[in-house]
Amino acid sequence: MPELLDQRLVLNSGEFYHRRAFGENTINRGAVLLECEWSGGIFESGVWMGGIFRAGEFRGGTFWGGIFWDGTWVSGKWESGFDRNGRYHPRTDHPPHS
Amino acid sequence: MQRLLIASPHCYADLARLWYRFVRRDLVPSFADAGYQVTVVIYRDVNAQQFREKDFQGATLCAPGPRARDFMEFYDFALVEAHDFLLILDADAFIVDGAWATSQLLRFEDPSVSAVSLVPRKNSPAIYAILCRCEHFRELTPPVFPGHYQSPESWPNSINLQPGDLAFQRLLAAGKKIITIDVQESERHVANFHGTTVVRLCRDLFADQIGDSQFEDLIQRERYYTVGAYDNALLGALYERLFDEAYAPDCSGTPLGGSLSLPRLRSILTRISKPEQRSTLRRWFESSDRAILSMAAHESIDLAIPDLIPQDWNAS
Repeated sequence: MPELLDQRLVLNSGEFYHRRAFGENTINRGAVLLECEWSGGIFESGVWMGGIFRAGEFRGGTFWGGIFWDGTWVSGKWESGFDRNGRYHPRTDHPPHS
Repeated sequence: MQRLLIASPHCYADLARLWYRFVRRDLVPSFADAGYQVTVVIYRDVNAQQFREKDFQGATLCAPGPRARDFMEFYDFALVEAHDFLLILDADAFIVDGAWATSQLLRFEDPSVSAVSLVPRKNSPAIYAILCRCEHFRELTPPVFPGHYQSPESWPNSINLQPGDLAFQRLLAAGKKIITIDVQESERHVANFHGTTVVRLCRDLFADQIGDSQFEDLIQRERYYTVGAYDNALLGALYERLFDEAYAPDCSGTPLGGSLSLPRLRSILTRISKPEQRSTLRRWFESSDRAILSMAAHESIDLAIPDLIPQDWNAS
């Protein structure tokens, strides 16, 4: 289960979320997110699969499919995904997208 | 002599080995007999080192690089490499009737025909198994084949166009024709499976992280994954009969451990109680059963379908 840390929601390794929405106070530290909505938190590690990354920082982990609408790409492994225009970006072609 | 390129992206060497067995024996000679110069290109999207060259004699093996960073870019790479016709064939699509596939080339006698979709998706063209006239597809602004999101701002109600769909739309808008083989005819000539690679990729990518329980819950809950695991069980049964080797093993060598072992899949199906879910799955399973049996018949072997369906499903 996610833990609350100083009003922040921390997702940890071993956790799995499917079709869930996460706000700006969320930090992912290893959880797997399938077809989720991410709106402003910090993605430190884990797996992103499908869904929409609306805002926030992607600092580590694997981005595999889904839409990278906005946010800051700091680091991580871009496997595949789409930009805000719906255009596909292949492996290694991570944001910011021109 | 006209040239045909058969292109297929793969992630797993065992599935590719099974796929190439059918292509090499049935498809390539049939197209060659019809006067085509045929080339087969297998793209190893991941696990390239697991592909043994002796299993793919006569094919060109390629791997991610600047011109094809992943399987999606590979489709456009193949279009550039091809000359007259391109046959894109999914890793889990097996054409069991080469003569039938070859006969579909006659449809290109109509100069407005851009493609023939041999396996439809909901009666519409799909990339699963599609013959393309290269000249028409090259007229499109690249990239040609990648998937696309329409109205991404409307997520989750945006439209996720699958690979090839946007190209089909553009060609149709330009007055070209895409012929879609109807599903009954397709099933007589093509054994097609669903989600088999995705289930294995998910197993590899995150099953260890979330644990067997949550992974199996996902398989149980989502039809796409349930069917993928079931189809892997069928492909495994045929593969083991043909090659006497485990299919989709995990790191300990357990057959299907890289997908879902037979006991675990049986256990999951036992937990499914909703009649409508059972009914939907049965339809998919029966279609897959017919597909694998057509492949077995083509191999002249009697194949027993793995005993996976719980007895009490028969009562619902």
